[in-house]
Amino acid sequence: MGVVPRARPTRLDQVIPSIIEHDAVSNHTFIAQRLLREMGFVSEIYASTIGPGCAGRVHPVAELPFLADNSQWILYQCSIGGATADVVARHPGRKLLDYHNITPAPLVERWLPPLAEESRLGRRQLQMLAPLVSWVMADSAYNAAELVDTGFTNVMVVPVLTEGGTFEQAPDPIALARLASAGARGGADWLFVGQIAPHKADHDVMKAFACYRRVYDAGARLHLVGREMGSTYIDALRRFAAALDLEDAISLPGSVAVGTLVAYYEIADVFVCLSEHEGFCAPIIEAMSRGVPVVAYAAAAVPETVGEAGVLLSDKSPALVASAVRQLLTDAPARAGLVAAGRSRAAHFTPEVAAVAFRRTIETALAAS
Amino acid sequence: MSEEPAPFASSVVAAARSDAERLAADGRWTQEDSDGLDRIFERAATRALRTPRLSERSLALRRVARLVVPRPARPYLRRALAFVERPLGAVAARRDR
Repeated sequence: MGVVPRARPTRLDQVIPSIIEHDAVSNHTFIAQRLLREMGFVSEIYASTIGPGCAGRVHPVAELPFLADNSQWILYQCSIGGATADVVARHPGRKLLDYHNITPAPLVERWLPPLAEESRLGRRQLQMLAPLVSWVMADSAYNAAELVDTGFTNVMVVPVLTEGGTFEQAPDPIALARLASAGARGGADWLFVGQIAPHKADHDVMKAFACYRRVYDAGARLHLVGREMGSTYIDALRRFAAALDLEDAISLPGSVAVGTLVAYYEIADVFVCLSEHEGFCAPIIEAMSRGVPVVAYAAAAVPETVGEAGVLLSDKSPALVASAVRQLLTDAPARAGLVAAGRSRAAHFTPEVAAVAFRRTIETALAAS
Repeated sequence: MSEEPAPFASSVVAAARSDAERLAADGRWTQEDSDGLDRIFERAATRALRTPRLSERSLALRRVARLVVPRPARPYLRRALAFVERPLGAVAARRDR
């Protein structure tokens, strides 16, 4: 007698430790929900912490149904530790995991001890989940390798899901006018987009920028766009900028609306990423798709994301980074070549490509069950 | 999809390396300048890391105050605390410059 295939689950719910607006993993989760519903599943999102703007779209994790008849599968969105992992572990349904990497605790220990503790917890929970999870998605080969080392099997690389057309939209005219008016006074515009967090090393970008201002371009500006992670690190950055007398040249606008973010990409001459740790770094791809050349420190998943389409540095001494930016801004053929290569690279990560990979992974997991 | 090769990246890195060496040789940006930036950031970091401890103490004070201060008097106490805290923060920021 042949093996009777198990019935396809009717629910594929997602569990995530915390969900907030303007966050790559949260956006990814909302888009995954839409794709799962398009595939015919009932799909809800459950979280321990639900940020403002997400209420009504996300349920408290305590409300997660526990259906024991294989009619419900769970997709766990993992980027930090938390009580949700234990809920997933206890759940009787088949489990999938979507891994966005967990920031190593030592990189945030000094600034955010509670986050460091959550990071350690997250790594321990990954080990606990490894034998319980059937299929895994990872944003990058770097993340996938970490999972294989932890003991997971059936690991597939699926790019971060992004909203189609987001970065094709027109820049916010007011923001663009304000930024362009500052640019009219001359000087290059440096840009980094990402959480203002110690592992993103915004302070190293500021050091390189200070060197660039002194040596090459006294009128340059630096925009560090993103929500702050805790208040201490951004406080240190503000004090650092004040001590360098660069308060007027360095802006920390916080989290901004998409139209405003597009305006920043529009006016940027260069995107500088000196992060110590990235599981993928979606803003690099956003910059490439908007025609902004990239200078980046080759750490964690960054070399994989940049590929051959940006300037990768093996050290981030201020003079080297400043000189690389200078080269990029003065060598027109190199700049044009890297902008073209960047657009081509970004085409590997379009929302359509990511959505196809996501659906394919879910279908593969279903077929294998 | 095949990867688009970009020989420009390696040429930019090579040019940047020799430019950075030239800056050092000319004394326009030396290792001492980089070390100086590290020291300034460390000072800023140390002071920023001290600041939350001040507000944590203030939080503890608020918790105690909630127990011992009658409700009608709380807005006055809140204003008094804010009056004390703000100048302290402003002084700390000025001192860093």
